[in-house]
Amino acid sequence: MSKRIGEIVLVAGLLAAGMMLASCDKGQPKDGAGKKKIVVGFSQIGAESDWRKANTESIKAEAAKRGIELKFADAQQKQENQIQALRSFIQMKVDVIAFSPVVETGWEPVLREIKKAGIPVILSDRAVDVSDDSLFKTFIGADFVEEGRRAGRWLVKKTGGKAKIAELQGTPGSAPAIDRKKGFEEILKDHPDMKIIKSQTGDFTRAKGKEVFESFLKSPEGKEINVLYAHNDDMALGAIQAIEEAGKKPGKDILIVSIDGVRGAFEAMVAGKLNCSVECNPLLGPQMFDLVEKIVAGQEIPKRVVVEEGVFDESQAKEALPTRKY
Amino acid sequence: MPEDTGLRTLPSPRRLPAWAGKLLWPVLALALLLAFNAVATPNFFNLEIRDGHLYGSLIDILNHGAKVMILALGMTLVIATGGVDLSVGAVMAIAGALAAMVIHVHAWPFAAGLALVLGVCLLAGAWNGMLVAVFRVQPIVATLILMVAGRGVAQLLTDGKIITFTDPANPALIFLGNGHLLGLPFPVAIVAVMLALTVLLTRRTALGLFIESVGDNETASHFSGVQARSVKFMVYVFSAFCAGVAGLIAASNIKAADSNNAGLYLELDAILAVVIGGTALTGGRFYLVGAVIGALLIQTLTTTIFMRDVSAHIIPLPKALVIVIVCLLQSPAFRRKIMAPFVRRAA
Amino acid sequence: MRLLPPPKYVPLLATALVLGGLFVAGAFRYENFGTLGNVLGTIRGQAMLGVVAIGATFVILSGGIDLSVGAVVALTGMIVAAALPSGVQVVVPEDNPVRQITRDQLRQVYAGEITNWKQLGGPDRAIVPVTRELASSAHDSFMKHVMAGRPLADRVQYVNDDSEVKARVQGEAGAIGYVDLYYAPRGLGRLMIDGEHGVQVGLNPALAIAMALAAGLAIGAGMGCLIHFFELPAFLVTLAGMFFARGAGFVIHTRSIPIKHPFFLRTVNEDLVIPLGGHLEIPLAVIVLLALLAAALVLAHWTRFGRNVYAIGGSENSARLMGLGVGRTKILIYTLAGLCSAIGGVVWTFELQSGDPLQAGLGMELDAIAAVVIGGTLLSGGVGFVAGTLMGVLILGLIKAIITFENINSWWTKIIMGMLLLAFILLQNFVTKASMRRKKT
Repeated sequence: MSKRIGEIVLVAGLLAAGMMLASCDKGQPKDGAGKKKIVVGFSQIGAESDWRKANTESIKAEAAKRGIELKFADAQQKQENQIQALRSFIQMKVDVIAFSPVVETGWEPVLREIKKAGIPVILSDRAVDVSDDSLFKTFIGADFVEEGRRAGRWLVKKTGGKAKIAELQGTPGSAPAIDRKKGFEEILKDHPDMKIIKSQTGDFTRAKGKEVFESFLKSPEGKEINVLYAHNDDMALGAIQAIEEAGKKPGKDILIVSIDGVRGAFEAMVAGKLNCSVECNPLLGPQMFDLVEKIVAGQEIPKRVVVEEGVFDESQAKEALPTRKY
Repeated sequence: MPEDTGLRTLPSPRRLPAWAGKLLWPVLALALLLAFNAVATPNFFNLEIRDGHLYGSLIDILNHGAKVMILALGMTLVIATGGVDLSVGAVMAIAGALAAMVIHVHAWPFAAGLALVLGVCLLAGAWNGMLVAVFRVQPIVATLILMVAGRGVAQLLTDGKIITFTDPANPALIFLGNGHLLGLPFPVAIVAVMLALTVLLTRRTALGLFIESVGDNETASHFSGVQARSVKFMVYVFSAFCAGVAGLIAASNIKAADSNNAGLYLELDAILAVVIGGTALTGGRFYLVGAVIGALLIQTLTTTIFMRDVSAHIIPLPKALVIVIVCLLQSPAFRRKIMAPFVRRAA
Repeated sequence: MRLLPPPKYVPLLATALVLGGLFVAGAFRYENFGTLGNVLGTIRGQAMLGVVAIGATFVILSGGIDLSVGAVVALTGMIVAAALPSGVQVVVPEDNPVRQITRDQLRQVYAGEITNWKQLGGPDRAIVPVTRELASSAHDSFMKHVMAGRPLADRVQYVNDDSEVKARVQGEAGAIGYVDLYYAPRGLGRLMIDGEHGVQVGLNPALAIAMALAAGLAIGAGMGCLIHFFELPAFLVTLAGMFFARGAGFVIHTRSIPIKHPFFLRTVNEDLVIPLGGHLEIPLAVIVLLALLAAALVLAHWTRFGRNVYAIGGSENSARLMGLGVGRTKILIYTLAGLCSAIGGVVWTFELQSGDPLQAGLGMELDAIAAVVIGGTLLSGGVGFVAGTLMGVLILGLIKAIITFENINSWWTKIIMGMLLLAFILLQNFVTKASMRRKKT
């Protein structure tokens, strides 16, 4: 009997070892033509939205195109996972570390470790809150506050400065939710006739966007709402359904402006149900690896690289739709 | 813990049947919350007819509560056997993802797609049931596995994207979550049918008795000839089936399969609904109607918070309060120790 | 084979073997995996979960369950972050001779009542007040503690962060601005306000940490009392505890609070570590974990409390009949778990320099249960080891590290985690059954 237990234990150990070895097909970085291959560690937030998915694919595709070896780690939206991945990158001795931080706070210690190890850091998509700017080389990404302002400015132009706005906020505490609200309100400050009369979090999801907007429409102020500002397209797409179910015309009875510029938003604009989507470009890959190559070559790079982004409204949507990659 | 709660040995002061006594608290809580809204939340009770169907916050509560109500039906039976099913949220995501892929992307006929989706959900339930009934893994851990892996499977199915299905191509799939029957949202009809069937199946046959006996005392039920294993296996299959239906409604409702967010954390709401409804987590007697009312209570709470411009962050706080109050009211020890002076004993 | 240990140690041994197997496999497969740095990094990454899982081990050993741990980590982290001093320091160009101001004068400057430096004893120069943007923590704190409800004058200029304040103040001779309490005002003159370096409110770190630990103890004790006195199921009481702690964290603040206190920034990361030479060191988080582990081992195996925990998990009724203090022990178990979660929250502030109501401890309750189960403790109670839990935590950490080294897609990560959990549980079931059969023969 005891012999069997011994066997079981042995098998268990071998099983674990075997599992790790089984999927073994990728080799170590090869030195092609005498030139050392650049190795980049990239820690992504997760796969929580279409936007993020497009972001990941852009980075992976660009790395493959340039022959850069990419170590990709998915944090599953958890900061602990992300920090552990960054530490793994230090151990792997990668040439450059890039990451999209899950939240703004809490990066000081691990960034110090990375700095001690002499690895340059690129922040992608979201910024971090650190007291020492030298902890990272550059930040490439959209300016969320500016996106909020753009949405606000478009609205001012469209409505002539008069609007009763319902706002669907992103996940509470997340950088895009905070900044997009901030930028939007900045513009509203100068237009006293534009007021946010309803505001609630829709968690960046379609389901919550729809549910929350249904309740907005049924509240006493519901009849007055003539503008919807959503922190992302998905919530706006959910809200559009709620508006239709209430017997109103989205895009006509209620103007809708949202942020991100995903494909679904363009389709809605073509159908006349969404009025404006402020682009937040996820295709950071090319610009990011330009920076990587410059850093490895020892060239100077700017501390802040803003991604090129546009504002699209209904009139441009049809033309732009076929070119949208995400 | 197969400890007798002593619940049924206490004389019931009003001599109501057990289920009526159990329904009292959740119904009272729901009535109180509705009364509060009637006074303090303007427009809450507004009902009008739009496009031939009813429209208003109350209808929203029924409509959005449908998912948790359906989950709660399956969960009630699982909990009655002394188990728990943490995987329902993940199964919802799988159902939505699979439906979008086969019916929308691969353009299967609706009936075939539906059969496949529900079939896969039954398999998922069989997986849970096998772990619990055959391998005797503790239910929390057994279903934790599918909870973790299932969402990954759903994302794998959709390649991590949100799959949107356009209106005209899939009338049946869209009808599930957006259609109307007799002026009410179609999900409400689904709930009604499923509740009626489940009640009939468990109360008009010996099935309900078997489930309760397994939850009360598995060994004893085994010796009295109940196939404890098959009963346990079946409740997990049924729970996954319910999760599948809820997942279809969730996806249909937003006309998209959102693998990452569909059904997220709904397992907790479902468990909560079951407990509010009067079914004890230790297993034994179960109350299907109570669970449905529990789900309604949770949804009413959420809708109230949305309607009243309260920041949605604080939703957990009233939920915590509801759990503690409901648990205390249903605890024999609490009644014995605290309520005794206030409750007159029937002579 | 007489070489095998007594049956009760077999699950522990199996876990140890798997841990070793994973590590060896990883070390062979990946360059730099088997380094001391990677080992330390993995332990450090899992320290928080480890601390929390040690508490959860006692709960599960007693046949209970604690779903509140992750939320308590978030709440206690928020308590530490919110209790620490926060505020602003007031800055002027370096060549401005004024170095003193009272809080009342400052308020009048920003309210537009004092408009010239002459009125403050400086040169004849118009004052240009600069403020941080709306909804920034510096702005909120300034409005609360300096303006005390009075609005800012219209001519106050808004800028978007501390470095913009610095740039604006340096470029404008008459400017006055304020920056975060912890911003290094190099190249700026700092005004003393009522004789202090800035306007600040808060507790010192020791008190803040003590407050957080007390909150954890209180929540744990409260849940323990509900479970014991009213015979409520632990699953629900701790579920309520989870909702309560999560909600309470959001009540403190709806978004994460950065910690910039020098104790957390410097002392924790530079002084309270054990250097190992080179770039390597044992960080405070790991020291806390090891200390707690030692304490928990003693508590579990060499005290009456520990024996009671095992006895209750084995059979609560028998424990009661034997006259063991079941009630007291149960309350203590949940109090201990609450304390461990609070320590986890404090470790979070050490490691992540922030309090976060949303992200902190998300899903940690399930990770903790998984770690305990992988570590060989039975969820039904009575059987298991604290040391096994630590191994379970490390196994989860190694799996995460392997996934990083292996470049796996997000969804595969989830699926693989599920499969591994399954493998462990089946293995454990098998081993336990086998050893039970062996006991009988």
